[in-house]
Amino acid sequence: MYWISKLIHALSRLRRRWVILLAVLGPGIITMVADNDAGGISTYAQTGARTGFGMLWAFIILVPMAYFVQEMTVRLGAVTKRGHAEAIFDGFGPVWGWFSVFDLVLINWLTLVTEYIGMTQAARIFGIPEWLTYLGVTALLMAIVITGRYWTFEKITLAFCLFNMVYIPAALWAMGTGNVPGGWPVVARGFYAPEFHFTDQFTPVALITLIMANIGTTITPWQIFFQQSAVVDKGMDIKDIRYGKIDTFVGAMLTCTVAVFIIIATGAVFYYHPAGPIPIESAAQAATSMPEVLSQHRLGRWAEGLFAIGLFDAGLLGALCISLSTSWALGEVFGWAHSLNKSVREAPWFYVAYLVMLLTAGVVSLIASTRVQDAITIFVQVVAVTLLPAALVFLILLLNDAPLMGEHVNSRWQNIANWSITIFVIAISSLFGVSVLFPGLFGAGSK
Amino acid sequence: MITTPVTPGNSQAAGPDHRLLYFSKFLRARVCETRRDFLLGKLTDLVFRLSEPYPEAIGIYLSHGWGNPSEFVPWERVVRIEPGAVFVLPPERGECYPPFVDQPGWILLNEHLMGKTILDMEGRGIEVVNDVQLLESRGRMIIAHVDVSFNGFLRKWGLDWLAPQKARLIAWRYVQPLSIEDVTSTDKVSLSITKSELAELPSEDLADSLEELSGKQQAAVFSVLDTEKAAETLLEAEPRAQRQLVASLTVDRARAILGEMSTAQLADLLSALPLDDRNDLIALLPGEQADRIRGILAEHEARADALMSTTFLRMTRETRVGEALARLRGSKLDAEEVWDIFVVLEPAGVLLGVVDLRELVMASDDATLEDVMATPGVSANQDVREEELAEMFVKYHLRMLPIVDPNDRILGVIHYRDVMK
Repeated sequence: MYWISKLIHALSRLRRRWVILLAVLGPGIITMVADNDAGGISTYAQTGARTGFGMLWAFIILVPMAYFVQEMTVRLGAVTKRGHAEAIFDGFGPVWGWFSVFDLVLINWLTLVTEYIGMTQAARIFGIPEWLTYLGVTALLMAIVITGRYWTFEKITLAFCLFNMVYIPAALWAMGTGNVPGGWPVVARGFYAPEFHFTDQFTPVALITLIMANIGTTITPWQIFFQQSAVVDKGMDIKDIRYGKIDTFVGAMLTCTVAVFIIIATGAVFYYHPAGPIPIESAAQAATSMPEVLSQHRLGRWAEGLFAIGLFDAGLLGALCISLSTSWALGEVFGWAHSLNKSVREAPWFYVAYLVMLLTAGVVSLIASTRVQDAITIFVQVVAVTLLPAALVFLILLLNDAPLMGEHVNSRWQNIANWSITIFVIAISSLFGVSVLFPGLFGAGSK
Repeated sequence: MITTPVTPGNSQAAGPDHRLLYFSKFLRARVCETRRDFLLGKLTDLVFRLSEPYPEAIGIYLSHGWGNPSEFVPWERVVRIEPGAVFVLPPERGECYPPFVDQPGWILLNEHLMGKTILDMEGRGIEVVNDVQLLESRGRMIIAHVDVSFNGFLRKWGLDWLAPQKARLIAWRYVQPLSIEDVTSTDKVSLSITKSELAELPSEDLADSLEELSGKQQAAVFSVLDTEKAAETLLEAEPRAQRQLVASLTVDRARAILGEMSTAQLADLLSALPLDDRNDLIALLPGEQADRIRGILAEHEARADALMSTTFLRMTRETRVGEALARLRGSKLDAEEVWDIFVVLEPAGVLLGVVDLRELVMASDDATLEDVMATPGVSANQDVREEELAEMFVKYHLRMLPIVDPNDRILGVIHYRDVMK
């Protein structure tokens, strides 16, 4: 019976590994899923409506890109026990430190406005007035963090991450309508043999802009700050790095899977519409158009509801993580107590910063006109262009600091991967920023 | 004893023989010569001499700004105090009082006390001084209380009519500035407690208070603690405070503090530190302990043999209780380490039973340990994991758990503090 006891032993070891893995899972998944925020959903909806399944291949590249960038924050946080803002201050001095933090706060605040817009639009679909959404959402976001325990925050947020999956049934139903001649094989072809049908409205330049937007929404500055701070706040240690990497990889897979299903859903409904492609500009518009577009099916109302829930959830997760990343960064540089494991009394400024971000951004989202909202969207991209390259370069330089990192310093292959990603992202995001600022530069057709 | 000239018929003589005043009411009050129309200037600060039990006012500091020389009015010259105005006698010589020169043992209320962080000994917490309550009696003035309520803050801005809550006063004797003599910090009265009192605070409270102080203040308070207290406080502090405190230590001090901790406690502390600090501290430890700590840090759940301590009391079963007590007293072990005595069969050290200290004390001196020991005692093998050890401590209400090899020979003991966090 020796083999039985051996098997039991092996199983119990396996079980223990699982328990540890499940305990460590969190920061990576949350960071990655929250990355599919209100703006991200809009970008994916637009992509699906304009290119059908032609852009799906991009996500095969985006999974490792997101993974390699975020994996660095896990190592940096677990080894140095410092958040990203603090790490930049320590490593590169106050000038770059303040530059990064100022940029981060600015871009986060602006992005937060777009999250609120997303949430109020989604709630509007269910007939909830904007001001009520604003108050309710702010109260909810405060309630999630105020428990004084990181653990509670993480578990609640992971539950909200699950809602992001509503796009999967939405995509299955959309494919079920039979809009797409050829069905799922056509979707599969999007991964290896994409086809594009250019028209006067959809030029090659518009396609490039769309590619850039998809990359820009997958790798963002706040993600770097957020995940590193979360790793530190969770108290992850060097021995947890292995599991933290798995966490990050699972997150990267999840976020890209959700993005792919959004594109499948919107592609099947709008791009392959029997009466010809219907252009879509935002996620809210995608949701509200559903009943009309799918009028011959009873699915229309359901699809609208699913899209609205998904959009609301995306905005909520985005708002939560963006405000937190701001509070953590400010706490690090001003030396306030900054931990979700602290009560409001123990870390007042941490929670005040969080609340102020939410309240002000929410108010602006309520009173801003459409033109102001568009301007904000553009401005976000421009500020991101200045911050993202700096954040990525700092990250890689810190990861190459051998005295700081010990044996967890970047290996040669990690450096090759990371520098290629960085150079690629810098090039793409700069192009994107310029194209947003000067729409005429790449030809009249680009929008 | 300072006597103050009291002009007949002033308010003080007519009123009660003592008054409580808030400092905020004086700040920027007019300082006039006995004739109300001659204004010397606005009161900039009150100067007190630190003395036991209460600091006593010794003068008024007037700053005229714009590069003009300041003036210092000795308290003997103060005649009368009214809301918004202080009346003083004219200078003995010349037109002006002499300029203010700071002296050792003096504090300026506004400069050194208002708005500063203090450690409230009684409430065991960190508070901010929003106002100071002064006791005036027969021409003398002492600091009675500091007000840490929001009221004091409002009063400072003339908004006390809002008065949302009662004043929260802390008696001055719980707020004694230590920093003026001891700490060469720019933040003069930031630490308000004497060394001896600091040692009496429980380390849990001390750790909570340290977390609320800024880096410099933290280091200053921490530096006056003795090694044992410092070790306890460091272990109780939250990770961020631990990192800051460790970063401020000198090599010798760090070595001494680490020497107070058990291997398991050290591993716990080090797991919260950045890699470079961690390596610096491990380098200070003896080689064997350093290796064990590296082992614990690399594992998700440490094994019993890594966590255990090898210092414990082992005796044979024939030992008399009286002798056992004598050896216990002569052992120079920490109180933590003598909860249980382990009865073993020498020379192999096979564990026979455990004697609880209370039973030992209650037993007669002539009894042998075999009579009083609990057998079979609870023990664990060396490869049991941390989590299961913790479960055993809870289940059996243990303070110490002996670790034995498969032949029941005792290897070491696990302490409560090493697995229960």
